Amino acid sequence: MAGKRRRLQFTREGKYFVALTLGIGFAAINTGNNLLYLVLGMMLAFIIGSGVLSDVSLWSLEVRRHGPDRIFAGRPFLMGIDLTNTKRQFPSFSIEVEDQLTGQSLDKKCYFLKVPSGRTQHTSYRHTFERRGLYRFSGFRVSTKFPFALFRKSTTEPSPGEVVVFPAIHPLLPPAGYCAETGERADGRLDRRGEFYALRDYMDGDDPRDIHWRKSARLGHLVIRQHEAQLGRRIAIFFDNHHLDSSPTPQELTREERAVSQAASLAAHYVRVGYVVRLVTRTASVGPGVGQSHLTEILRTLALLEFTTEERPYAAPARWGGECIFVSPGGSTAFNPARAA
Amino acid sequence: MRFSAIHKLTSYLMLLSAVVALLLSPEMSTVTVVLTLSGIFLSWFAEPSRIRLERFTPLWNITTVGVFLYLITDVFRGGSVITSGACFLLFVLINKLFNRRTSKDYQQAYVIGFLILVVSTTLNTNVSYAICFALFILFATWAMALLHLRREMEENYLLRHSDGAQSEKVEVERILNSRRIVGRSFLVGTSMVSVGIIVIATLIFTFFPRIGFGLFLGHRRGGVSMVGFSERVELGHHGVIRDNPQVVMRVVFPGGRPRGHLRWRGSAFDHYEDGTWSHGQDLIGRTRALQDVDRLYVVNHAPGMPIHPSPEYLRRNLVRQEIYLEPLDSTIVFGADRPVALEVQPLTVGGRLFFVPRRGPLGEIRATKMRTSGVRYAVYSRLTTPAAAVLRSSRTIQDPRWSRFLQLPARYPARVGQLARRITAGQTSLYDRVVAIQTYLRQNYRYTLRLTHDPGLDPVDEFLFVTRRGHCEYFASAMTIILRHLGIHARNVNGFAGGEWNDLGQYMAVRQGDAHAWVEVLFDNIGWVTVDPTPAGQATAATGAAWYRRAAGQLWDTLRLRWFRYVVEYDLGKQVSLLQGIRGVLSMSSPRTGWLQRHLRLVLAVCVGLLGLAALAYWRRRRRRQTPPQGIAVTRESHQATQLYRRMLRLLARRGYAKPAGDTPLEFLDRLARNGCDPGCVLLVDRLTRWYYQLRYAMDHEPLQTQLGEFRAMVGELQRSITAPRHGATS
Repeated sequence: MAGKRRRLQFTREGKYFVALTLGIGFAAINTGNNLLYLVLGMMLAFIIGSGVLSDVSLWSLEVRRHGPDRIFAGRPFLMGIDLTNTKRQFPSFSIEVEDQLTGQSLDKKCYFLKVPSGRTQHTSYRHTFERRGLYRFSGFRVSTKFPFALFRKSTTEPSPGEVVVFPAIHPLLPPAGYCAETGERADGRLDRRGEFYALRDYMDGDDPRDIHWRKSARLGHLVIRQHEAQLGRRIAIFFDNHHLDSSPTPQELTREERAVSQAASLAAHYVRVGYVVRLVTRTASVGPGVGQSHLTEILRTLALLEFTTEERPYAAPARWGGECIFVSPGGSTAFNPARAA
Repeated sequence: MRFSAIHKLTSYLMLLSAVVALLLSPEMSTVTVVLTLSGIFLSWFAEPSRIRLERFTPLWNITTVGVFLYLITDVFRGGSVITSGACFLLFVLINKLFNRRTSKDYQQAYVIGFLILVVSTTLNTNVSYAICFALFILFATWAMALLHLRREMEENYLLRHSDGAQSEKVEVERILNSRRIVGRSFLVGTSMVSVGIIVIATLIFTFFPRIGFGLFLGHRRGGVSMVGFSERVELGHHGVIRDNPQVVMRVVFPGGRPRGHLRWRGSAFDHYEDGTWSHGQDLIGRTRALQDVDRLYVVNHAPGMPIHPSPEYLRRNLVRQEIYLEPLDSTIVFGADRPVALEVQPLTVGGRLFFVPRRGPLGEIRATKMRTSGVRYAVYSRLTTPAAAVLRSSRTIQDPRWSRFLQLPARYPARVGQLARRITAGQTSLYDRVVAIQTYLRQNYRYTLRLTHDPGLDPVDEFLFVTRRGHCEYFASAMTIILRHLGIHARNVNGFAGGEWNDLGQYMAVRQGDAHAWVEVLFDNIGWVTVDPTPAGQATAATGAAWYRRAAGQLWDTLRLRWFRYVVEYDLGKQVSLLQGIRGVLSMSSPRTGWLQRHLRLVLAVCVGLLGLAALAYWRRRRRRQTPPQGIAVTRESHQATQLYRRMLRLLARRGYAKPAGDTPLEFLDRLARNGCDPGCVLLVDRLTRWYYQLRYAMDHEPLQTQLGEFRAMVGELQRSITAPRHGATS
């Protein structure tokens, strides 16, 4: 971080200090009292020293962010911030790190009281993205008021990054349709074999071979890996991302977003219960698949999905051997795939 | 040391350094000093956790109002506004220290402490202020940095929150009691910062342009109270100041320290009446302006000198003394023996002189008004005494214009005259009679400072015939009176004798205790000649102090001189001189750089060599400090985690479950489970292994003592619960 441009702002105490310095200077010149000149020198030296030390504190700092694998709209998440002091000798004190989205601060400050030389400190901030979509981080604003809180010295550390915010997922019942008519029960079974599903806390009776040791060491308690079985159930979620109106009203936009959220919730539900799920929209599609990684792909597609005013056919053929659910801003229904051909 | 304790200690040290700077002022009464220090001491123990401070708020409010009213009243009664204001600041500070709770209270206390330091600049101009000032910078650097950290902790610190929980502020007390935030290295590092601040402050002070004396206030110091240099001097006061160590002037001899005993002439008196020396009525206030020739003022005529000596003659033939005179409550200016000429420095570049000298009617030098700051000037004196043969050839003066120096009190005891004739019986020359009287007094009278006085007797008469002992004033007065009885013109002179040579500063320090009185006798062919009837060895103050005390005293006096000359009385003239000196050094034209010019190559070679050595040392230090790539610094805390794990292994080994050297901790855990170790024991070992991994490798900071404590407890639990078969060592 050495060599980057620094910004200097007075704090409230700094303004008072400078005003007092000017007052002392005036008194010294007025009275000719040399001891007042000495006091003036001391105050100016404190200002200079403050500038130098704050610079040293900001030297050679590296910031990294690491967020959760999935971020959902409307749901708070923790963004981890790692601050590394690469200086050999000097610790850095009282560092504030502010994440920046496309050049604007998120107004979420992470505070590091002390970062010893050669060490990394971790903290995180809580944030909520209200809407789905792609968000770009531009960097960090790193600042300090050390040592005397007379000034805030800050620098901008470029650190581009992106996060995709998935649509909000809500617990829901799948719409009445093909599945209910046939009376079949969607049953998710978990197995030791198959794709990695999730981690959960260790309970008595669990196979110790499933213990995820590294994660357990980090978390401080035992956790095990869960896997899911391939069940053979198939469902396609058709999502209609067609704007009826080229200038939708806010209510229509809200309905559209709610529909996206519903589609995401459906996908999550069916993936969780072991279905093979595919997503079909007018502009994008995700092929059939199972498991959490597949769900991530579906959610990502839905996160970046844009509504179009063009009358486009669905991106994938409707003929498909499994169940179908049609989701649109107007509502969702299940339908017979034979009818969808 | 805990963070809160370090912060409190440094805050108190900082505030104390400002308070002491004020309390060392002569304006502060003993009561104020005692009350202030007691209040600060007691406030140390007033912690919010121990005392419910809110209960005392009404009492503090009432006391504040009372103190304020008292000080206001004191001002109306003629007290100093600044002193009363300073006392109120001290009270407010004590109030704040007793009621400190959060960082904001500390901050307010710092502001008050700073104001006290500023007020001290007007009340304490001694070198003690410099010491307190330097300490204030040191402690303020610590205290302000720690205050900042404390405030940030109180405002910012949050729990490391989990996914589902809300963020919460951590209980700040736990962090304030932490020992890991600041330590010795922090304090040492910030000490270096304060050294830098002192250096920068000194540079700013040195080069900040002075516009001469201030518009409203100048350099003001209280004048040294002088006894014996007013218009009237009563016999007996000399003893009062004999032990006073206060320095009156410091004298530098550019031509080298002269040999012999020096006397510093002050004022002379011609009229004696009822034990009091004074100036004759017609002389009071009569001073004569002096004309300067090339900045030299000729004050007196020395025997053998030309009538109108040129400046070059004076500078070549007389002893030059550079005198730094403390501010006095008298207008007298001193010089060695009988000063012949005076050279006065200008106060500022191109500005007015320190003082304009005038000549008194009896040869003394006076300034036009009393000074409130020290002055610098140079005096040229002839220090040699005329030869005895020359003096012996002198005759008694008959000119009535000198009759004032034969004045005697009306109805003076006749026995004084009889004594005078008896002493000088058989002496024919003026000189021999003077010497006879001098010898008689020295041999027959004892020197003492402890005197009693019969109000019915004249002090000189009492000295000569009753007590037969006294100090220099009595010896000088007696000799003058005796000489006048013989018709010899004489006058009493007050001044200083000797002084203490300061090896450190290479100057002579003349103190109040060196005050002395002697006689001047008029010889018709020579002029006034100094004669000292006081027994030898009694002229100067006793210096029986131990060598280390003398050395400490000299060091202190040198510091004091430098302080006043280069700080308190630093002015535009000194700035200009300094800049000219720097310019001379840089352009190698200054006489001081002559040595440098001659040995330039040697100096450069030495500098290059030193730089090379420094670079080599730095390179070697860097190489030594490179840690191996896979190395992990083992700290005390992580070493403790390893020791606890090894203790667990030893416990298991004693029960027959030794860990093979090639097994990792996890592999050993697997082995235990497979080899039929008690499941409860395996679970415990499992937990301990996970803890070990976490403490040793998974944390980015040192394990906390609490975590090590839990680890230790688990090992203890294992020790208590383990019940494995004694056979079946694992393989």
